[in-house]
Amino acid sequence: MACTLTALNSTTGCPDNTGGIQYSYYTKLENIASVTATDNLITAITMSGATDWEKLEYDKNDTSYFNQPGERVNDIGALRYPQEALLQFGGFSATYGLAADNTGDCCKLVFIHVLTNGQRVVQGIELDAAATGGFTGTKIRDTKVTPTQNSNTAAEEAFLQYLVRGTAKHMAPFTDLTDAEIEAL
Amino acid sequence: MPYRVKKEFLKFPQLRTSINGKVVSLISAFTYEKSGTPTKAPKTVHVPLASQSELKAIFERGDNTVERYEEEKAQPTAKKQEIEPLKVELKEDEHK
Repeated sequence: MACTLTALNSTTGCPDNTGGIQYSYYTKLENIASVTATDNLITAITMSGATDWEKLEYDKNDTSYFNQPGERVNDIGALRYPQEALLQFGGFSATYGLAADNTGDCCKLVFIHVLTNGQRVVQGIELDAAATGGFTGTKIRDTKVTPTQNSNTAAEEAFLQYLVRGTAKHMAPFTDLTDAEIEAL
Repeated sequence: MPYRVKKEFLKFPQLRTSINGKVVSLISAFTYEKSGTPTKAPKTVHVPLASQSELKAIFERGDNTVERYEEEKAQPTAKKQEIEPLKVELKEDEHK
C-alpha cells in the first residue's frame, strides 16, 4: 500500500465511540469464492454453493470485543496486526461443548463482527486485488477459534468463550452488508 | 454482449450471491437445506439461476467472478467448389 497521509478529526461531529461488539456471523474461509470491495469496504460476497453464515449471539456483559493492535517486528520492521476477538456465551452444556469442539477443528475462519456503534468489521480476510476472488485469508497467521469452557465457582458465571485469533498484514476490512443480506447468503 | 462466470470460478460446485436484494446462483439453479437456529426452523431454499440482466448488474458492481464476452460468430461455410463432371467422349473406334 502506498504511503499517503490522511487528515482525521474526532473532535467535531461526535463520532460514535461506543466500544464492544454486539453479535457476529462466521463461516469457513473456503465457503467464500469472491469479494467485491471499494477501498477497504466489502460491498458484496459470492459464496461457493450451499453454505451459510452462522450467527453468534453472545452475552452483553462487557466481555466481548474485537481488537487489532498494530505491531512492528523489531520495533521498526514489518507491520502486522494480531487480530483478537473474545465472544462469551453464558452457560455450560453438552450443546456448547459439541459446538466448541466442531468450531475448534476449523483452521481458517471468517467472522463479521457487528460493533455496538453499528460498524461491521470482517476478521479473517485480507483484500488482495491480485488474488483469485480478490481476497486471501489472514496472511501471517490463519484465523482460528480457541474455545474455553469454564464452570467457575457458584459465586461466578459458567461460560463458553471463543477466543478468535489470527494475524494479518493489514487492518481488517469492513462491510456494508446488512443482517438480512448476510443471512440470505 | 452476454455475461458469464469466469473459467477460474467454475471449480466451485455452485456460486451464490445477492443482487438487488435477491440471492441468485451463477452456475445453475439449486435447492439446499438451510440449517435452523434456536429461533428459526430449518428450511428448504431454492436458489434460481441469475438472468443475463442480473449477471450484468453483478459484473457492473465490480464482482470479479463474472466477465463479459463476445459470442463467437458462426464461420461462413466455404463455398463448395463445383466440380464439373468429367466428360469422356468415347470414340466409336476405340471399342472396336
